[in-house]
Amino acid sequence: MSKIIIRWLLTALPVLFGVSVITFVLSSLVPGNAARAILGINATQEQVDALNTELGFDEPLPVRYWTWLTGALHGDLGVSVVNGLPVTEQIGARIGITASLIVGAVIVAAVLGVAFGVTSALRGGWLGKAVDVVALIGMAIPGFWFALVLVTVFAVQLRWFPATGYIMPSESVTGWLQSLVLPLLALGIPSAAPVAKQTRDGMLTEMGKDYIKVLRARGVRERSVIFRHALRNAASPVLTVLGIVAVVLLGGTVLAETVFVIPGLGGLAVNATSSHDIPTIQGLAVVFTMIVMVVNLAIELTYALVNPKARA
Amino acid sequence: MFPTLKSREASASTTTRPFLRPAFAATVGVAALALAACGSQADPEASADVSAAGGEMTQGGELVFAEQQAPPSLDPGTLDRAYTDFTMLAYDPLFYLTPQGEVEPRLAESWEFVGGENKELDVTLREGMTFSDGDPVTADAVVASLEYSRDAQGNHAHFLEDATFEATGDLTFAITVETPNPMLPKLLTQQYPIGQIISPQGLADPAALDLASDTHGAGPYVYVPEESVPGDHYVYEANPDYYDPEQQHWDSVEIRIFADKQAALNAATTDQIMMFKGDGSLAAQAQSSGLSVIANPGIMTGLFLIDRDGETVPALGDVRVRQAINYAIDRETVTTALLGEYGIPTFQTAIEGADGYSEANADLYAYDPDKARELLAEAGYADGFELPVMTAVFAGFEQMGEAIKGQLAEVGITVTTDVKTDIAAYSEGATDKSFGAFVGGYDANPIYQQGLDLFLPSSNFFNGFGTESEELNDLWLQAASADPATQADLDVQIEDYLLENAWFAPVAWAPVMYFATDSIGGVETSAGSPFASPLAWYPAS
Repeated sequence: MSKIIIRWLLTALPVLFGVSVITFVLSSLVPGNAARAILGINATQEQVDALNTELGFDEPLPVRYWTWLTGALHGDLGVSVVNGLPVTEQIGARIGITASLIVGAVIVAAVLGVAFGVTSALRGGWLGKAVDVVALIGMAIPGFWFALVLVTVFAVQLRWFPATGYIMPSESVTGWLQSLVLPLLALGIPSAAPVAKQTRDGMLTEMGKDYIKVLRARGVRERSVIFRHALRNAASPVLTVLGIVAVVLLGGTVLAETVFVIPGLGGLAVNATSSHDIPTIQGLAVVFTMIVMVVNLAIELTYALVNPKARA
Repeated sequence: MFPTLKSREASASTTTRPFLRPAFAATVGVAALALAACGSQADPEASADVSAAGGEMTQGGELVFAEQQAPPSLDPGTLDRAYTDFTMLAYDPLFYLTPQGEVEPRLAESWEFVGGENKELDVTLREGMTFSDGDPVTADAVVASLEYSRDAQGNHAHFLEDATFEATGDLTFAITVETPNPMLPKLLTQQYPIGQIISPQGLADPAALDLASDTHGAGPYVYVPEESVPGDHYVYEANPDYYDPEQQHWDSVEIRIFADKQAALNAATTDQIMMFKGDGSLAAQAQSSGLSVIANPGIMTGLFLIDRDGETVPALGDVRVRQAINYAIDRETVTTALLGEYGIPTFQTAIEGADGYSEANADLYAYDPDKARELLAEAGYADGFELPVMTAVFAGFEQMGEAIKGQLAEVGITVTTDVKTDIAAYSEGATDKSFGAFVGGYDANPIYQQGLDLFLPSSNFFNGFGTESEELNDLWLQAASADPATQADLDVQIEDYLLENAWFAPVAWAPVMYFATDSIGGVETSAGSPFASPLAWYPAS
């Protein structure tokens, strides 16, 4: 395990550094003048120039990057040029919400995907075909539309769950769970489709192998054959898919945050991009990269738990 | 029914960098006439047709409504009017614009133009008022606030650019302008943040008038940064020191940001919010969900042909081309398709029956594509030309741009649209000369204010290339200080000039649409006040 973590650190640090450099350079190439956007259309060029100086935008790129990097290493990602709020503070207030969405949706995708995949592999016949069809539909339906259908049916018509909003668990655990149900279903159900397909294929392969016959011949209970042996061996590719799902969901949260009006990182990223808020974009790029890296680490550690050979 | 939920987060620490002065562009101005007189001022035309919703007035509870875009700060001196709902709750203005388009007292108890030229406005403040931070509301304090707003270079600073302010007593002061300005009181109502007064403590560090700090106004509510999350929701509580508790209809107010209008409709349908702004595409669904639709067609939407000297699009420098564009648009069809029963076709900047409307040119640009082709051929563009046009995702501008694109294609003009997603980028596009024309909206304002906003060289936003016409300037200056009858005649001459020289290509009078539940009252608009003000809303039984 420690080897995995050390290897991960050796990879993560250069990747983070590279991403920060690339984002910084690309952000500087984006057309638009933040000082003009801040000061408005009546500001004189002198005022715009003065604010550019104050913001440090007239410094050479390497100097600006070094200033940002030294701040970032101390936990200071700068301040938004649009609303003047610290980037670290804005991200800190939202990262827990986005994490709830991603982790919750991955759990929904894993539970549904594995359940459908195993059932389909074992039962075969029309049920297997049905799972294939449902998985295909799950991958094809537009997420935005699916989210709106959920809202219309379960919030607007049936009034079972709130249509919008997010409640902090510190305020009400029940309210928090209720506010998350529809967003998690909207994100998790379409994500379950590839998991189900991968699980089904993996289980079919494993169940056809000789060791399964041997286990059965030894009189091992069928439940143990399926879940302790076949599913465990089929799990590695499923975990890979779940890792990809988690990374894709990082982008997918923008959709859920928009439809369900949830104050997460996705909405912050959209607003920052459209308003040339470079410090916020920069901070978010680093945080998103870190999330992806952490997901990768989690997948590798889970691999190691499931498959001892991967611990080497 | 599921109970109304609140979006809440624990507030983080609130230290911020104290220097930013965000400001964004104006897309629309205030509507209706302002008469040069003292006391309450009314526009009979404007108050004649009011759209409203709501039952019997009660008091207390929480007002929860939605806005589409989050404000970059809470500094009235620099903030665009697009965000004025966020500041008017905490910063009382000198004057108050009623939903009927009348100017009424607020911090100012009375006012009067003196000298007969609409150049000096004497104002008397109420006695015994204080700002929420404890500072007394005095003439000196108000003068300092107005001077700050004039100099802060926000998007409405041009209304005050030639104004000087002088305290003439503890509660009296004078506003003097070089150019006659009969509309001054209306420009200092809650509809423009520059009319919202900031306390001396607030002005001591204006960079701290941000989203992480307390507000420093004399309004009915105070902002609560600890309970707000910028970008998501903004919470206000009743100001215990407010001078007129009867105007505090609510115990608290929460403004939530809903970037997606369908999400806002869902929230209103399930009683999570009481009111939101939308467009015609939601009207039928909202009505079938039991919401009230409040709408007045008071926003002139269409194409603003700003490159009139042909700097970036040479064709637009030829008046025949601009006229051809006007002839080429089938306004009846576009208006019906986009706005249905809520829109009125127009090619004039003045609404029919109002100040400046030209009866003589009432049919000038009736749809005539053949005439358009003829004019294009005369101007040397028989094969058409390419016209880059900026539009935006908000206020229905994108759809209007697509409709205009289709209309102009019929006469050979190829429109390429660039759709902006936020107000800052839209503002920049209108003023940096990157587009010869853009799709926008502007209130049904009197000709005087149209001069300030639309066609004088100083009107940055709608005159981004700074086109100047000596004839137009002279007419406007004469009208500004003329007697009412002469002014009316001059205003029509100005409208005729704009029409004959095709400075714009308006398409329709469109409404600002409000969708309200039956738990809120006082959501009213009129041609004189097309934007509903949260100060007027009350709990309805």
